[in-house]
Amino acid sequence: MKSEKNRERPNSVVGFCRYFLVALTAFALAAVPTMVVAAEEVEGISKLGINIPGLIAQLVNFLILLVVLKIFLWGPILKVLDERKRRIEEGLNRAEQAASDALATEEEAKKVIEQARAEARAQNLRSQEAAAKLREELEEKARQEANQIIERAREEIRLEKEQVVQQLQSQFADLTIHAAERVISQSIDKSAHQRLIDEVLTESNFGQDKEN
Amino acid sequence: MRAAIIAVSLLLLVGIGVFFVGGASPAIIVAPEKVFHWPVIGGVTNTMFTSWFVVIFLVVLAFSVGRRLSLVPSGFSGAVEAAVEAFYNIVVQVAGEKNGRRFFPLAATIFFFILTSNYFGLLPINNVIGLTEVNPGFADKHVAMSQSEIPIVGLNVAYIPTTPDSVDLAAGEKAYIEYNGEREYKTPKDDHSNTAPVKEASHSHEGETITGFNGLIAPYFRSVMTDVNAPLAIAIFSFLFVEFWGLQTLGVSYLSKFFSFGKLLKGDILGGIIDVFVGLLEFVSELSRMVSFTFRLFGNIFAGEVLLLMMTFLVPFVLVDVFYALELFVGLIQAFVFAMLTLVFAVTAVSHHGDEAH
Repeated sequence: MKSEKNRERPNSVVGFCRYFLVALTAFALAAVPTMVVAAEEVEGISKLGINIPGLIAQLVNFLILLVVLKIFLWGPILKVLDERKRRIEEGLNRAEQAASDALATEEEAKKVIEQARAEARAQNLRSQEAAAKLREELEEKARQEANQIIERAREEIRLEKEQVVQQLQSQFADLTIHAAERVISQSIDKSAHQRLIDEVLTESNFGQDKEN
Repeated sequence: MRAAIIAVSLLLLVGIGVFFVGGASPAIIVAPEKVFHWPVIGGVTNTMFTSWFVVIFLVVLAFSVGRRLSLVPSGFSGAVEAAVEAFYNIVVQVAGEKNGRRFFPLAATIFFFILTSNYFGLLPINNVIGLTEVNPGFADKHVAMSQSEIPIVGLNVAYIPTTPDSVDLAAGEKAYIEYNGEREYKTPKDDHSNTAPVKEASHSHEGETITGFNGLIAPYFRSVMTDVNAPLAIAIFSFLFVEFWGLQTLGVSYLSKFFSFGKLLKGDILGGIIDVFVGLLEFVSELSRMVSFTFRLFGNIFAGEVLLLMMTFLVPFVLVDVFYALELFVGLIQAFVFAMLTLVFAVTAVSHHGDEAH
């Protein structure tokens, strides 16, 4: 800011000197018709109104305007115009840059999204496969387990049955022997016969006996 | 219907103007009149006086606008800035960026000074209020006038009587003006009247009925450019700046445009003589530019003023407005022409002379 001001000052001084020089020449030039008028009283010129005081007054007027307007109006206005032009150019450039940046970013985002989508799709496929596999495995396992349980139960039932049959066999043998003993030891009629068998059966106490 | 009413009322206005409101018969005097006698400065002509107002107006404008300029234009300063920018763009178009910047202050000052002067000259204060003096052309009559002094500003305002009593003078009697019954004798050539010398009192006007104002008004305000000195001053500045820029840019070789002895010294007598003659022509044309500048502007504006005065005299209402509009246009065009011609001359002065390329 300061350097700008410093640069400006000599310029305006030079400009001022220039105006001064030109003005001096102008006044010198103005002296020519004066002398002409003074020497010859040129009828036409003075009738038109050309006279030295008037001319000098107008020269002074114009000089004042030239200097004052240059310093206080044209200079500042040109400066403002330049500054505005610069700002606008800058702004436009920046806007262009921003637009192209945005475009690039959008492209990038699209790419990323596409990539993510593909990845997700792959992931989905993979997980579906894994799930199917897991289900199959579990089903297999469950089936096996069920089979095992059934097998075991069957085995148990078989064993128990065998045991019962064995027990029955042994008890039945005893009972038969016992009944036979009774039958043999007594002569028995048909009713005694039946009574004997019932007695044996009652004594044997078939069901409870085993549990005791 | 409405258009018809407007047309009829306009015509009525014109009629009233023509038949009942006689304007002052204009006296056309080319040279500006001296209206003040101030110590040190001496006689002050009305155009000088008006030009000071124009200068003060522009200076005040420059100060007030220059300080309020900002990057975001607004209000009055924005409008001024827009006008200046428009002019600047034209200058750059004509002279290019670099030269345009150099020539712009002079061109713009010329344009806006002339424009303001011309528009100032269209204000109704011009050619109306002023000193009154007896018309030398009617030196053998006397005119009874009523004049009242207005204390503000100390200016004498002369009211123009629509039906002045004019009385033929007895032989040998001096012309006089009667102000409210008091007679004021006028010597034909007052020290402050810049008008043509009075002819010998003749009786050419005897018997004529005189209508209108028989004295003269030396108005306090008169359009600046109707004084030849003003355009001449600007033309001198224009000329000097153009020569200055030529010398500054091309150095001494600029002068070879006027003094081209090159061919003559080389021995080419015929071509050399032609060159010298062309140089002489260039020199004369350069000088004659000043004259053409001066009289183009002066002639247009003075003619415009006369036209307005005549139209005001003939058709005081309505129709005269058309001519005011015309004068607005002429004022703009003349300002533009003066500035643009200066610019073009400057551009030709700083561009290299054709012979140098050979």
